[in-house]
Amino acid sequence: MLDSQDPNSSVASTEADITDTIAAAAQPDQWASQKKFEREKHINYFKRSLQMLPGVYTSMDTHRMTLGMFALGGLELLGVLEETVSEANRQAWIEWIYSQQRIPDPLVGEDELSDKNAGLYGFGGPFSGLPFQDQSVAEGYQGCECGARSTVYDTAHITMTYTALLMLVLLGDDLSRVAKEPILRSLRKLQQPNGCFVPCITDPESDMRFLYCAAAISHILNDWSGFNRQTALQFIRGSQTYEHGISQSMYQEAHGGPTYCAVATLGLLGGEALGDQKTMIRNEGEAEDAFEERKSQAGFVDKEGTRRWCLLRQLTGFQGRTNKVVDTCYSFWVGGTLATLGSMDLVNYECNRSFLMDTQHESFGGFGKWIDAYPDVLHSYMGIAGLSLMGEPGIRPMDPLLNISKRMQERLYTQSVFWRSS
Amino acid sequence: MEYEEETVPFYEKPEWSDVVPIPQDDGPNPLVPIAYTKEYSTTMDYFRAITRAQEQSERALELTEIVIGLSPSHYTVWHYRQNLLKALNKDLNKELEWVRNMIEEHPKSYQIWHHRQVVVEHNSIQLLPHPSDNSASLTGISTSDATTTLTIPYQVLDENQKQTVRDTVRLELEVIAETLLEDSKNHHAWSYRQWVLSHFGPGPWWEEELEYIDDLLTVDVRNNSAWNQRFFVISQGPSVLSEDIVDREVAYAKKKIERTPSNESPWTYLAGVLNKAKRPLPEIKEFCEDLLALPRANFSPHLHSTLLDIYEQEAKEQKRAESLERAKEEAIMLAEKVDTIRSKYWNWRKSQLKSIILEA
Repeated sequence: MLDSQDPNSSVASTEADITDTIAAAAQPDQWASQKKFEREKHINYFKRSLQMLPGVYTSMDTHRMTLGMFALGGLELLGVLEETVSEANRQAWIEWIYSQQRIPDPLVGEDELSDKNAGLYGFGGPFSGLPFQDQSVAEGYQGCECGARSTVYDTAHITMTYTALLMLVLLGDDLSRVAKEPILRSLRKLQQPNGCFVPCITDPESDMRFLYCAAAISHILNDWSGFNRQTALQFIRGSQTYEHGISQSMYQEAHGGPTYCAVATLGLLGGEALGDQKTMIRNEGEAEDAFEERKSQAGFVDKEGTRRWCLLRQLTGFQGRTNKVVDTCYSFWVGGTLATLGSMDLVNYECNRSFLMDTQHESFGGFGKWIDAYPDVLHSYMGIAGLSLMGEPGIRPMDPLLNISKRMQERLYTQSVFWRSS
Repeated sequence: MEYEEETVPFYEKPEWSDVVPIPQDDGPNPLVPIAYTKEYSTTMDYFRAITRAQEQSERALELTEIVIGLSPSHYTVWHYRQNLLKALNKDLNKELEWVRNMIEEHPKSYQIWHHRQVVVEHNSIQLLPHPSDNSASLTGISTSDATTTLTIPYQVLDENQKQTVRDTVRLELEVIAETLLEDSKNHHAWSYRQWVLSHFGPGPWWEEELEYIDDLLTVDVRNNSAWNQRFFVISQGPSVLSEDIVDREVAYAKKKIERTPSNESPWTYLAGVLNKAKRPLPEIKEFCEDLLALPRANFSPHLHSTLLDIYEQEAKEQKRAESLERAKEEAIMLAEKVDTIRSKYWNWRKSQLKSIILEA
């Protein structure tokens, strides 16, 4: 909707433009912003968003779960989640989230579960038309049953499953009603032969976003049996471009969003996944195939190159691609990648912070994509998350891998049924 | 769009009177409700009723068009539309015309571009003979992997078939070029363009693609999407990456660098091509050192960072003190003069140089 204002054209330069603009070497004192962090306004912005989003969000109706995560996650990073969400709302919203869970119809046989309907399960958009809550099973209600009563047009979506799980953690639920086995079965169905994932059985678009969601879901459920690690690693390596950034899918242009998705996935995979093939050396006495096997566990083709690509994206804030304009959300996408690589200390904090201060909306609160752009919940969340990665006072520190506060990460590990006993 | 020209909403027309709309049951206290317009919420009530009944009809097809107009990223409506196109045996060329208009209105919708791909893939199978049964169905899941190709290679088709393929490819590249004319970095358009080039296999469109890219780079030499496409063509196209092609591409990038030395795109392209061809980066040392003489180039962070890489590599491989010293100078130049925003990074790179052990 902001396309007409896209200032990308301003970075275009013709070949005849041989005078070339030389980036002025700004002095440090010019970087410090005169603007202050509008904390109270941002809190009010997220509060309003939780109550009612304006009609302009209609085109994102099927992604409401994600919009909710940005609002709740934003309040959590601002340190006011519990005091903002009343106990009545907390309980009601947990029920609302579970009401969007697609679970197997108990009347459907195991054979059918394992194939035809696999891929349906998880959380979805609120458009199924199924009743909000079936009164007969109100006790311990898990969600709407897939099978005879639903269609493939009511299916779950991998991004909604990921953000629904994060929201349940944010709201203090122990995840005991999450249909883990059906979700894992769905993940198996959604992973493609090339290692990437499609978001749901009816949408054949596969890219790095959905690979990350699958990894985050597997981590939250503390079970990787729905995720083929080897093919996923191959896909991630194959998507590292000649620029050493990472693209949505093989051969496409390196981009901040998929770079985060890929690198955070490597972090969640753990083990040797954050390893670097370029600097790996064959050990003395190591057989060729053993060395190849070891290399196949590393997720990076050239880790140093990826780190540098990320750092080069900083102009003031961060751009998402080479020669594009800076945008609030890349302070998180690129920042989160650098945090995963342990290199946040190489970012120019003053510049990045100053840019973010300028994309705050002074009267509404929230953050826009660019300076003078209207705020939206995604950029508002990402702006605050970007500041959190730099240790901004008054913002809770976050875990870059799961995209949630460290406090909530701890809650997942200590209070959820999938982690607390392990 | 058609429905906007009509004054009476579809749901008030008699042909819809038999449908019982299913309202959205969001419960007593929903999270992030959206202030829907009446048009949207009523349309979706009918959409729920029609999909629940899995109705296959002309009116269902029209309804998908309305829903897509209101919510193009709706993730199941496209699948429903594809099923309907197949069930109603619709003319897919008409569908492609419609998609072309939709792309104009929503050029950044993932789903629209993918829908076009699904229809074109299906159409190409209909138009051409295929030996095996593993043809993609209109509703089948396929990866968006650019490596999917036609089952019969272009070269072995007869003249008429070749013409059909060329016309199909030309139309698709034309539709994409329309979008790129508005936004030359539209990610979806480029992604689909790679699919089109690859799907139809080796053919004359690959050579033409290099000319198209050259035109785009003449208009905007900083168009990194075009540079990426150039790399795609030389590395994934039908021609082997021969020494001649590598030489040609190295010369191409150098020429662009000489004119706009602070442009990152040709620098990464140049290093990328050399790396792909397994040729050493120090091959361009002289070129870089000569550039230092140009005042405007002397301020290019990309020139200095390339020199840092070259000297660092030389110091490591040849264990030369002079190279190490030069590498240090470049790191200092970057940190203190030409790329001060990243001074922490360049100072860190300088500190890394200490680990290089020279000959005693």
